[in-house]
Amino acid sequence: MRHVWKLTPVSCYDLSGLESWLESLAAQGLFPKKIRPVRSVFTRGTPRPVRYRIEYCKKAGRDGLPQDLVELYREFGWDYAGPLPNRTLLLFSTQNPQAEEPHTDPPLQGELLEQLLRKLKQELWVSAACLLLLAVLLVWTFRTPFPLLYWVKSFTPFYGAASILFGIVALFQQGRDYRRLSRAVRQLKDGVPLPHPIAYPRRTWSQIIAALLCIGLLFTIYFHPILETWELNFAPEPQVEDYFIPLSLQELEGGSPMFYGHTYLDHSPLCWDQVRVVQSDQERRENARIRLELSWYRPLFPSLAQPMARDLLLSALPLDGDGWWSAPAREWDNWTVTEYKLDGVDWCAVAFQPEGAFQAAALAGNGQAVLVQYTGHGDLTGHLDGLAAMVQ
Amino acid sequence: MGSSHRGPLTEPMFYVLMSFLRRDMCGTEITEFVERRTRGRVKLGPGTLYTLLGKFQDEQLIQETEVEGRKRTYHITPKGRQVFQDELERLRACVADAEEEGFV
Repeated sequence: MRHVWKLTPVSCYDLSGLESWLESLAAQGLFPKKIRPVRSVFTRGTPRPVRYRIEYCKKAGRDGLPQDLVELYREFGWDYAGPLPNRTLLLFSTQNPQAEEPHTDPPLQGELLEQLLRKLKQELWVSAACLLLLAVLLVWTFRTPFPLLYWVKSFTPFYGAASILFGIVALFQQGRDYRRLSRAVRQLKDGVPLPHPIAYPRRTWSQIIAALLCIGLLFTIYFHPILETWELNFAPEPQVEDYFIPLSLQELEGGSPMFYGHTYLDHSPLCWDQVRVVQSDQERRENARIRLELSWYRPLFPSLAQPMARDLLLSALPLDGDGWWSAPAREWDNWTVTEYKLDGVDWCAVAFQPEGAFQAAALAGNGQAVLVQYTGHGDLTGHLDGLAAMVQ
Repeated sequence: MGSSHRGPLTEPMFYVLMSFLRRDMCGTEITEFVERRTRGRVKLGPGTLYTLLGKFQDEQLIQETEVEGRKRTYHITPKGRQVFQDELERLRACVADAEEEGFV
């Protein structure tokens, strides 16, 4: 049997709208097989007039399909046509024009749908609370010392922001469903039956945006780890020269000792090109390990490069005596930071510790930012041209 | 849906309660009774009937007495009779008011 799918243009809480849509499709020979919030599946058959009605049954969500209800409907000429996405809403159909309308007491139907309205209201509050919690968590990320770096370098805030955006659109839709159902309940309680058929609303932008956000979010969640695994295990080591001209440990140390180097690629939505180059000597000289680490970024928005470079330098200053570039805040004061004006560079600063072996530099230019972390015998200020070349 | 404070009954509610006064009844018998009694003026759809039977059970106006296959039979309770009687009094009062005003 040939199946046809169609985007569902109405919410399942828009009872008259959904019933009218299904009736118009039956007149075109399409009969519902599965009704879903975004996409519904139909089977093709002979076009004929069919009436569809949606029944709210609280028991259906808890205990499964209530056979007594199905049987009663059948006795009145109505066949069960399947559940709606919300399992408490059941779809019935009839081809018999004489079959009595399922609901002949509008106030009673209003009372019944009021239960659904209460459920929808609860869901609305839960969604709003979840959204608020998510927003608080996201705002919490701004409490990190360098929120800009956190946002630009990582995928995590992107997931959070996209989830919130999706949540807002979904909440907007839920609110609209609530208002629509609320209107229908008021009308029924006033003794006015639900109208049939009605001009069902076409798909709205908010539904399309919500669906696209959801698909995009799921795709990214799945795609990102796959990409990372592939790059880590299968992709050839990236050529750093494809991105920038790196300063080398050999230039800083002079001579031609053996140095080891590795290049790593990373991505984030706000900074797809992130390159980290690590060079070291693998041995200690005068109790100081020789090591050069370059972190290079090309953010999506070039204007972010300079504030990024400033944050990168500040984030590199905390040191740890045992390891590398992290240390208690009290160590920060031991640094001397000097800014330099260089041709073709928007911002450049070099930091060093008068009594230590650590040096750091950060530069921004041409929409690129780079952080240099170095321990060794050389002097970064003596290689300003080499530093500038990395962002030119 | 069970509510201790009840307002006036709707017509379908009134006739469904009335249908139980002489004997216990199942769903289809209730529909036939209402159809016959009102000469087709009041109609009961399956959604209305199902909701009403559930609501009356919740409010203890009727109780299920027998389940024979898919056929369920219900019996009106003293509380159900009282609710019906109250509604009848209300309707009589309405008619009496209209009579006093000379409209009947």
